[in-house]
Amino acid sequence: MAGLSLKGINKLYPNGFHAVKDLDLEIGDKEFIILVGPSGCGKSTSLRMIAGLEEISSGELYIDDTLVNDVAPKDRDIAMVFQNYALYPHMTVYENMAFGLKLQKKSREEIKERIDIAAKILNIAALLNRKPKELSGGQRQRVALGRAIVREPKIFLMDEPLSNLDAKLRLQMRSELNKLHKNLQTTFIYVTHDQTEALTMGTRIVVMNEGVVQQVAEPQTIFEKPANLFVAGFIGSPQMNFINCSIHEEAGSIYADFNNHRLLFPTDKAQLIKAKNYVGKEVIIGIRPNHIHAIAEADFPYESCCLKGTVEVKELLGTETHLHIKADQLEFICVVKPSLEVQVGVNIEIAMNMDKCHVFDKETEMAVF
Amino acid sequence: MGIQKMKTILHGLKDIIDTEFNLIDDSGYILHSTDFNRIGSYDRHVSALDFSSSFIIEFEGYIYCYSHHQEERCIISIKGIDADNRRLAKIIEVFIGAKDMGFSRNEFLKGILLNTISDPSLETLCLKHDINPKGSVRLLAVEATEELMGNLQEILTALLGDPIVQIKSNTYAVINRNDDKDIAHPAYLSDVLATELLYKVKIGIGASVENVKDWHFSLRTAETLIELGKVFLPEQNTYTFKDLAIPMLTSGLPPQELSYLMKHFNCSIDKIISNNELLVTARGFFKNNLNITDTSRSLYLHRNTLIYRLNKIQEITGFDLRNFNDALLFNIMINGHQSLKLT
Repeated sequence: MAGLSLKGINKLYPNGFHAVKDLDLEIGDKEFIILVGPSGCGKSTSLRMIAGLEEISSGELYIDDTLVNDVAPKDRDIAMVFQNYALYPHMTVYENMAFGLKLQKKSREEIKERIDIAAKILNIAALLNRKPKELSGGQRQRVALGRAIVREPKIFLMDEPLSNLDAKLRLQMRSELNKLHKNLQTTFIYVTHDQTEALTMGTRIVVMNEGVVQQVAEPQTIFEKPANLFVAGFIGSPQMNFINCSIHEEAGSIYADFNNHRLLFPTDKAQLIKAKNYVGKEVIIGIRPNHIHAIAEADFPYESCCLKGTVEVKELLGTETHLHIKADQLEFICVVKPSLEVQVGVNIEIAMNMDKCHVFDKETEMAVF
Repeated sequence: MGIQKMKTILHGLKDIIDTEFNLIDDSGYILHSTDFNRIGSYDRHVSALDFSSSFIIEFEGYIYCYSHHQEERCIISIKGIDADNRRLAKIIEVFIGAKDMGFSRNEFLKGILLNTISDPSLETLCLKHDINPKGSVRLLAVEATEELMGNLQEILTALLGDPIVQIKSNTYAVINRNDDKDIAHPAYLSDVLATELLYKVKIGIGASVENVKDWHFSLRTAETLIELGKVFLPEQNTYTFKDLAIPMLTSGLPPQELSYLMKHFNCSIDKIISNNELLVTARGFFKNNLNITDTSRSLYLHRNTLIYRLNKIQEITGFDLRNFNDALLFNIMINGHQSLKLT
């Protein structure tokens, strides 16, 4: 069990590629922290620097208050699980789990003891004599985790370990990893590009883009209070809708104007806009698809926040339906109940729940609220 | 078995069987003979002998037995073609074979990979060592640190089952038959080795070749790829031709010519290299086959932002990356700049 402290960490490759920029992060003991972001954002590089697989160009990395920049990976008391978890094909599950420990010259008794414990945790005790080809995808993934568990590390580092699994198995393994974290009571650092994985698994999420940390917070906070336009767009599925607007004040009320449309801000949000001097300025309004409603379903006063548009695509997902709506030159996605009778090509009136909207500075792309 | 020892054996055989034996080198020069008059002369038949399919050949009244050793190749000839001499030739072959087996399979493979065995009968020798000389093979060079070599060998053996030869103090060569095994996929290898060894093992994937005579070429390219990869793609651990074809070309050019080429385009490429945002955008755009939609999705950039950045690159360098020819030249410039830094 260990806490980590990353102070001003940079990774600059000799070819000029600056993969990670000034990464400051405190990771508490027993945390399950997720590094999430698009391809090339620096999340895997950060994980590899923690592991010691990549040299740190500048900055300091502490594990349990010990500076480990120059400590070899094998001496950092970590274990890694990668996306590609090939098992040794000619070995049994037991031998696969024992292999790494044999390389470490552990005694036969110690190896057996560790494997028994790990097998019990992962519920694979009955599989120990099987060969990998006799296992299902999920069982193989558990064996791969078992190989990491038997090392008894202070920190587990996982780089997209579920990416090669099919959707159903990924869902199952997500909850298994959560249980595993609770059972092991160890620090987990987990890298993924999948925002759903990030939201469902982590105790905290680190959102990265272009080598820079965008926001560090609990999943709920990341979703409800994104720090900037990038986080707002990256986290949440379907993606948040964005509208370029200008802010105007009229008769004491604050409006967002765009394409000959006008949305009225509720009083509390209007006060924030005034207080932060955004009246007369250009902003970007963000609103999640589940906060745009068909008029027929709206359960809030919608008179001053309506738009007319055409349904371009209808996606039935069982518990909900996604409508892709085109209104003037803008495209919106909104979530409606499956019972709403609406067809592709028809006109529809939608209402924005402005109580739930976000506003971003157009220049800095930082959240106003 | 040395030449001197073979001379002694031939001398001993003369006392048992009354026939002429000659010990001849590759050029046909007779090193030793039971007929002392022939020592120092040439056997002109030798140049016509082809031992690629058999180590025993009957020719012009002689039976020739070929003996191969890494640095000592010679031929034993027996005068007279009859059943007794044929039997004798077989016995000699057994002795020679025993000698060859002393030259271990591993040493033999190493000799092939380092190209120190240039023998016309290489394919036959392979069969003797239970090595299939034909079929699609690619050589992987796997580089770690000296202290990890023992563990690395164990993991590679357990994982792949392919022959593994240590070619340097910190490098193994894996003779990998192309059979689409998932676990032989470079990404799998790299991840498994990093998991087990907690070390960034570098893997170069050589060209696929069809004959044992080209294995050394495949290995040499695999090693070159690692060396280039460390400079041009240091963030990666596995390197293929596809990744490094352009760096291979630019690094192969004489520095003066490369420098002239760079000057000719005068495209301020250093301004792109020092601008991380534009560099990442260009690399992402290439990775996604110059596709705007795929790139913006992969880099999570708004389409307009991506287009703005591509325009910016065009403004600085003159290259419009949406155009294939410009993209290719830009790539050559980026890699050429790096190649020049190396010289």
